[in-house]
Amino acid sequence: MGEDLKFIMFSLGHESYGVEVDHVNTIERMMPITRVPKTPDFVKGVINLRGTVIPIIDLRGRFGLEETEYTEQTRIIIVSIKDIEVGLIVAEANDVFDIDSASIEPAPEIVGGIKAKYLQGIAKLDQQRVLVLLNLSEVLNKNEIVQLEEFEG
Amino acid sequence: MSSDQYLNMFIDEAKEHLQHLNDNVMKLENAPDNLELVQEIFRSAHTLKGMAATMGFDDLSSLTHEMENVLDLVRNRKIQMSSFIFDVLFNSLDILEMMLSDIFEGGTGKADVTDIVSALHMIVVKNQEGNHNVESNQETENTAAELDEHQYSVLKRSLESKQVFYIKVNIDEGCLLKVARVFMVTNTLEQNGEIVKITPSTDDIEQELINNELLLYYISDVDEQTLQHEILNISEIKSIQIDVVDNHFLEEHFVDMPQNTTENEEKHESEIQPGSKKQREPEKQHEPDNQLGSKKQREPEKKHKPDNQLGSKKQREPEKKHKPDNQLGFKKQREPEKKHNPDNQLGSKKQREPEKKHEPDNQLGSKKQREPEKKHKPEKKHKPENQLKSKKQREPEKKSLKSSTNRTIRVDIAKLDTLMNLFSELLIDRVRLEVLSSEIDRMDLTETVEHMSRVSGDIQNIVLNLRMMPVESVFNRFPRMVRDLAKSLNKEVELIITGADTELDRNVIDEIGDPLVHLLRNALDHGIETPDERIQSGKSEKGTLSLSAYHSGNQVFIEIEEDGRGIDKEKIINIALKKQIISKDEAQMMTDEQIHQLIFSPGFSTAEKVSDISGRGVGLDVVKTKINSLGGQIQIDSKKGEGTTFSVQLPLTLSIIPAMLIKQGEEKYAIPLSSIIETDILQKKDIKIVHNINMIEYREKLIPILFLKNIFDIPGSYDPVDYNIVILQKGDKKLAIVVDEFIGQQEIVLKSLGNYLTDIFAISGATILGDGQVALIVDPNALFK
Repeated sequence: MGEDLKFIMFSLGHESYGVEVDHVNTIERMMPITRVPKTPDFVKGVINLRGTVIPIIDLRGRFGLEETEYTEQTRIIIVSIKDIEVGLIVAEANDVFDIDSASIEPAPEIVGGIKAKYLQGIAKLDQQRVLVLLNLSEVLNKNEIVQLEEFEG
Repeated sequence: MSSDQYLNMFIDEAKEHLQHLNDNVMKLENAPDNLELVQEIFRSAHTLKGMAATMGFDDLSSLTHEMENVLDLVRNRKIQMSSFIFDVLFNSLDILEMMLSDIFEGGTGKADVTDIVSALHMIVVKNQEGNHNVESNQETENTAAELDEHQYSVLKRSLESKQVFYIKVNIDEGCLLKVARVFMVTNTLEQNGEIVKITPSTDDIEQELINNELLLYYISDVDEQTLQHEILNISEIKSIQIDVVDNHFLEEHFVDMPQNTTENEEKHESEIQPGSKKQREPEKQHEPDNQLGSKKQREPEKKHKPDNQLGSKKQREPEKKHKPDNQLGFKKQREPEKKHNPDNQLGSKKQREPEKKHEPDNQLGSKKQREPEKKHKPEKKHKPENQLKSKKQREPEKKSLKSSTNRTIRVDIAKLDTLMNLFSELLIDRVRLEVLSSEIDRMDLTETVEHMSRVSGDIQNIVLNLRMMPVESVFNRFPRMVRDLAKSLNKEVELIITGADTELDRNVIDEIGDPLVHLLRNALDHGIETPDERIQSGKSEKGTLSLSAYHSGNQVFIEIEEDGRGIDKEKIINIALKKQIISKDEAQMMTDEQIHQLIFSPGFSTAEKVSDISGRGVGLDVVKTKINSLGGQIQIDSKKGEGTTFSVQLPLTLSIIPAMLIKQGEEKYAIPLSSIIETDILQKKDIKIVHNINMIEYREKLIPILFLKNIFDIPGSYDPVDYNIVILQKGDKKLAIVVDEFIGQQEIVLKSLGNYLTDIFAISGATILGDGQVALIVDPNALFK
């Protein structure tokens, strides 16, 4: 038995994903976003979160998936890792789960179109459901956004 | 507890006094005969001593006390200021500063002041004995290991709980500033322990009578390896040998020297000094008197000058009280700061004035008497009136004293951030309230909301300004530093500081000091030539080093400019090739600017010989890294033979700037007003195409014109007949940009986009508008190529 970790569960479409609660500051409804020019497409812009300017990225776009329309259920999960604070647009944020760290298995090469390097692992919730755990520091890797920019530019 | 409460206040005030001391000693150096300055310095030192003693920082107060003794002699014209005294004074100030920062960091402010105290003491003693040969010191290496009784007992006691080392440090023979190295060694050692004995003696070190070897007895709980490592880290230290001392070793070297020489007594005394302040206190109070006595006795012998002169000398000695009343009165006139009996002053004034002019004097007198009557509603009694009046006379002095001791508190910047964020939220609500009240349209509500708006506007200014500090707090330590450096390099330099009141965010201020120090040192060491070289190349003997700060856009520029030898491009290329920083092909392609930037490469140094100050090739790349990490940039402009300018460009991480808000399509942007020359309306047909670039004529010159929607890929197909344009400038370059709509001028709060989005083209940050939306701030400087 490992230690119990708490994860926020959210969806990006069909699959369920999780980020560690420790990294999550708040979950917000959609709000007006100011576009920031000359940034990769998945960077939607910045918002004013109670006086702090926070960049927003579309997680689907970040993983190279086709972006979907925003709905009533669309949420912005404000996460912070190291000194980076970013809002992630997700289709829906549902629940908090306790997961035994021992039950986390390494992620296969690709899950739902997301490369393994962005994933921390996979945890089985019950017989049917599987939670894909995100590796936030890789998702928010700044070097990668620079590369993407160069690639585009 | 209560002392904690006062600690911050103490530190702030002590710092102020130190700065004051530094400034004034520097002024004094230029005008050594200015006794007013000496007085001023004396007073600052005195206050500092009193404060330190109250707070229980004995080392601090004992050091200032020694300084006072020296200053006392100076202001009493017992000794002339000499460069040695200046050096010692400056050294003392440095140590005081060290102690203060130690206290600030939660330490006890303890430091080994033995060296400096004995140097100060020596000045006093020298004067007392009128014998300048006291310091001659024949101590040789053979006696270096020997210990007198006091040292022996100290070491012996320490052996019980700590380790004692006998350390031999060899300084590089080529070292230019051995004294500095010795100080670095002792400072490093003192961080971890206590130096019991040092050879050559501290006096000799002060006099620069050092060969290359330094021998120390040292108590510490740090192990040998660490010590060795730390000492060897100091540059120009050739080798170090550390022996662990045991009882046996001690006994072997204990020499029970009969303490018959004055030299030994002096030393012995100075070594006990820091600890036993109280014992020495009374003794010191006697000193000046003694000196007075001895001087008095000597004076007639030496100089056969009339008694008159002696008398006039006495008048200048404010603290002596055994003087005729007449002189006392006279003295008090000259020194209004001293507590005095106002009646006396009044009297003497009246006495003197009639001698000159009768009528005007009367008028003056009656005017003076009337004034207080007017101000304080008349109670027509004469005596109280007089008192009132004399009080009034004194009050302005008191006030000026009070205002000079700044009343400050320290606040965690995080708290200011929180305050700022909370306030921004309030601001948004304010805008909503304004909208609501205009809808409801009730007089009293509208008035209340308007008032609230005004008050919150004032609060906003205060909140924002809380984080801003003038760069002065960084700059004001440079004159002293430049002076010291120039002296040690035998160069003549005039430092000109402008724009010290330019305000910068506190975070930046804290970080910018070290890079600037480095650049200044670099300018002095590599840039400015020696007086001989300068004369040869037809320049004035004295080099000019100017340090200036100013705002431009939402950037602060700090420029370090000197009129020295300039950067030798070929030399740089050669070195870069040799060190394989660039290849031959690259070298041919490089622009001047790129070549200049090479000196920021790690491991790059053009100095033929490594000097004490700079040229180790580890400096400038660190400077660049630091400035980049602050989000800034550094540029070099140099002409061979004419000088070099380092221009540091820093962002205001958080500040308030006036900006022009504009709208393009659905997006709003803010353009810092400081970059805008003017806004204008332009007809489409005025745009000329030159070399495929859109240009317009502006004040008889062609300047490029850009479209904001193209720069930022802003959607929208609105294409008007007349263009709204903004003319921007950077230095002497200008350009125009086309925008859809001007919203208006506004003070905006600069916010960073966070650590995720960095280095975005032509965007320097964001601000939150009244409606809660984020607007991006355009960085006009990036639009110029």
